[in-house]
Formats: sequence, structure tokens, C-alpha cells
Amino acid sequence: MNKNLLFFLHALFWAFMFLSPISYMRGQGVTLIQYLMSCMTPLLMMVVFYANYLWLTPKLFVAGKHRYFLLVNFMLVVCLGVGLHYWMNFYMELFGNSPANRRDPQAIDELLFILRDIINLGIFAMVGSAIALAQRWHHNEEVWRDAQAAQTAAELKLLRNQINPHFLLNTLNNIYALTAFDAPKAQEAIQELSKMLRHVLYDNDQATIPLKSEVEFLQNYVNLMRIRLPESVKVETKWSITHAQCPVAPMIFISLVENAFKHGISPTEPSFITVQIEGKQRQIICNILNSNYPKAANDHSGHGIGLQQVQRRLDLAYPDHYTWTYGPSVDGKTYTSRIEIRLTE
Amino acid sequence: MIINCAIIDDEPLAAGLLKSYAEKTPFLNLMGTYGSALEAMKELREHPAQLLFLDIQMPELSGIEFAKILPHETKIIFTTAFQQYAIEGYKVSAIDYLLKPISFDDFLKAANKALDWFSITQKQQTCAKDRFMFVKSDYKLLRVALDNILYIEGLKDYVRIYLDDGQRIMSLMNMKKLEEYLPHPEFLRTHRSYIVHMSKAQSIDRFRIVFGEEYIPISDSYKDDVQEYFDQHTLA
Repeated sequence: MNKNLLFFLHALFWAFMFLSPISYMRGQGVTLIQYLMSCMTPLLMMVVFYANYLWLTPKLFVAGKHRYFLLVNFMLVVCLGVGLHYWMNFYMELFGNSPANRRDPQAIDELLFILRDIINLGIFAMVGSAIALAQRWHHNEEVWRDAQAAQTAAELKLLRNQINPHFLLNTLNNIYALTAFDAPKAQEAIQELSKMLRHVLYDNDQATIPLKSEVEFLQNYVNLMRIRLPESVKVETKWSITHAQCPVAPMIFISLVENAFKHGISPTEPSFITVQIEGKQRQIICNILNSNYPKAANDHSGHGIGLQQVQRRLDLAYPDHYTWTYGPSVDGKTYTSRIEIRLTE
Repeated sequence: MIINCAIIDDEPLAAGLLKSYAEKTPFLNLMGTYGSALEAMKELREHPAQLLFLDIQMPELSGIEFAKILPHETKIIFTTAFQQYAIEGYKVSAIDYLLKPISFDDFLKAANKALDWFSITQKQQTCAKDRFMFVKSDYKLLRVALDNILYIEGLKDYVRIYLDDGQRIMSLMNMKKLEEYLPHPEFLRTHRSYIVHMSKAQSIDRFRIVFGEEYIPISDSYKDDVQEYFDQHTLA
């Protein structure tokens, strides 16, 4: 809450409290001294309230000294309550505006009146303390949320900049083998790997990049994966991009393509992977279809970041502007993952 | 000596490279190259290989899992791009562990380790079956029947073999190799400098093994093996 507004609210409330004694002083020539003396009640309420709001709650209660807090509050409220009672008695006697038929107070009445004053003050103590705690809680909540947001941003940056070490090492190993059999192909692969690295290290720092460069990145990745797989695996890519400059958040589709390679290839059964991307003026569609050979959860060949992160990235980059459907086909033989993004201005 | 080997790797290029290495290595006979452990299992059941070059990170059945179900005689050299699997690899008693990318040099070193292992095992088996060995002594090869050996004393670069007819044979050999050749636990190392033919021991005196006038010490590091042998052969 705004500081000025808070101050205004406090002032308004206390102004009301200080004006309230006037209401029960019938207009029969109230003197200033009489009014000021009757202001003792709101004054003590104010003392109790701010003692709790500014000092007791932050210094004692929040610091964990709960017993000390209760003790000080109790003493404060009881002393002031008793004091207030006698002050008011003195006031009554001085101005004698008590009802004429008032009977002499008995000890039990006296005690009840004192108790009433104490409870009145006690309520103000509680309210002061409660407001202080609520404000503090609200403030902490904000700090925590800021920290959380900063952490998410850092995490996302890390995820974007990370290249899967398994992919890198396996690819290097395959290129090493390729140099022995097919030097030109090895050169090609090295070129492709450096393009990928350049993309990961430099190009994807921005929130969005042109669709064209993301698609090139995917193509490089698919080509490098291709040399690692047996000939029998069918790997296909279809790009139909009418708007190459279409902006897209980087490194979202790659997780899905990685998953397709991870869960789509069987060493013994026929396997295929198809990656399709359509880029229209206002829409990007990524459709990945593969044969379905799910792997055990303890397999570490992938990023290990998984679908939750894809979801999170989509939520952050395209809140309410995307649909993502995924899952195996009815017979369980194929698996589809399809993201449709509607681009806004 | 020729070792029958097979290669298992799900990545065709990686398997191809190892294949070319195996073909270049004179003492290796490559029986087959397989793209998965399951495929290899079928073939190897009928024609078991002695040595496997086994990739660890493979779909369906990992190299480590496969190694655990292989017969004990099959020896393994693991190949992987990831160091973190090394410890697991050694747990299943692999001969060696190759980190990809693998050079021919590394490959050859590992293959030689396997060759050493197989030749020792072969000699050990022959020795145990035929009950004799030939040892080099003064430019001659002497035939020594295992049954005649009492104990063997290790000296700096050579050993002295004590026979039951009082004869002593000196030979240029090291204790470690000899210990590996001789059948276990018939022959037991009792001390850094002694290997004892246990069934020939005459008596045990204050935890020393007695052969006539000679007392063979038992050191702490070999105590457990010896104790176990005695426990098995003692009537109480």
C-alpha cells in the first residue's frame, strides 16, 4: 500500500476517535478543558495501538520473544486500563454530569468497569499487532515473489544456453569415427556442429529469434542425430515457411525433437521420426510424429528437463496463445506432439 | 593365441570404428558386430565370445545390465562416452574401460590386457590339468611335477622351488606370476616371499608351517586365506 494513503487512513481513523467524545457530551456548554480531559480515552488507545504496531510486534513478536511480548502487553494494558478508569472517575466528579439517579458504585461494579476499560485497550493492542503482522507478511510475500521471478528468469537463461553434454560427447565420438571412413562427411558434420554451437552460444540470447534460424538449428540437430542412427531408421523433416522472419522463442521445439529421438527409436524394430514446421504470418505449427518405444525413466540420454519445462517456456513466452497436444496414438505404436502458436502483434 | 570377440554398440559409426580396430589386431577374431544387447544375446548364446567390447549407454538393455547376465567366462571391455559409468563398470569386473572417442592405441592396450588375462587363465588350466610345469633354470627347461613341490621361496628376481626329494630349483620368475599359474587353493601365498603347497605341510606350529627343519612364516596380509584353508581341513 502507498505510504501516503496509509498515513491518511491512520489520520482519518484517529480524527474520528478523537471527535467521538463530543457525541456523548450533550451540547450544554462543553468547555475546552472538559473535552481535552475526555480525550484521554482515545489517547491511551492510540498509545496502546502504536506501541504494538511500531514497537512490540516488530521488535518482540517477530523476533520470537513471544512470552516477553505478551508480558509487556499485559502490563501495559492493565496499568493504562486501571489508570484510565480512575482518570474518568476523577473527570466525572469534577464535572458532575453523571446521571442524577446514579447509585453509588459498588466494588463489583468498579471491577467490571476496570475490566471493560482493560478489554477496550486490549482490543486496540490486538488490532495494532494484527495489522503490523499482516503488513509484514504481505511485504515478505512480495519479496519472495520477486526472488522467485528472478530465479525463474535465471533458470530459463541457463536452460536456453545449455547444450546437452551427452549429445555433444556422442556427436564428437561419431565424428571421430567418421573421420576414419568418410572425411568429407566428417567435415560436414563438424560444420553443422559449429553452427549449432554458435546458435546456442550467441543467437538465442534474445527473447525471440527469426523462425528461419530456429529451423536451421533444428535441421542441424536432426542431421547430426542422423549420422548416429542405423540406416534403417527413417528421419524426415518438412519445413513450409512462408514467413521466414516470423519471431519465435528459441529452443522450445528442440526439446520435443530430442524427445522424439529418445523415445522414437528402437534398436531392433522399424522406426521413424517426422518433424514438420509450418510458419505462416500469424501462426507457427510444429508437428512431430514418431514411432513409439518409450524408455525407462532412469535413462539419462536426454536433457532430463522434460515436458514440464516446455510447458513452462510456452506459458511464459505465449500465455494463452498456444495449444499443445501430445500423446501416443490409440494403438500405442506412434506418438504425436503438436504445438500451435498464434502470434500477436 | 586367438581371442574370439564381439562388438555391441547401438551407434553404427562407433561400432564400425571398433570393427576396423578389431580387424587390424592380429590376435582378435571378430565374430560379429551387434546394434543392441538383445540382438547379441541371441547369437552369443549359440556361439559364445570370449571377449566383448560393450557400449554402456544403449536403449532397452544397457551394457551394465547385459554384463550382469553374461556367463562368468565372458570378459568385458566397456566403451562409453561418459566417465560417470566407470565405477559401475568396474563393479561387474570388466577387464578395461575405454572412454570414447577411442584411439587405436587405447584399443590395443585394452585388447592386450585381455590377451594377458586369457593366456594366464589358459596356462593355469593346463597346469592344473596336467599336474606339471616347465621352468627355466640355467638355460634349460626343467620339468617340475606339482605333486613334488613342497614350497617356493621368492628372492629378488628369481624363485627357489623346494621339492620333496630335497632338490632345489632356481628359476628366473616372479612370485606374482607363479602364484597366478599354480592351482588355488592347493598352492597358497602365505607371505610376500613364500608360496606353500598346502597339502604337503607337515604341521602347523604357532601359526608357522613346518617342513622338516624349515618354518614358513604366515604374514598378516595373507592370514585370512591360510586360516580359511586350515579351517576347511581341520577335524575338531
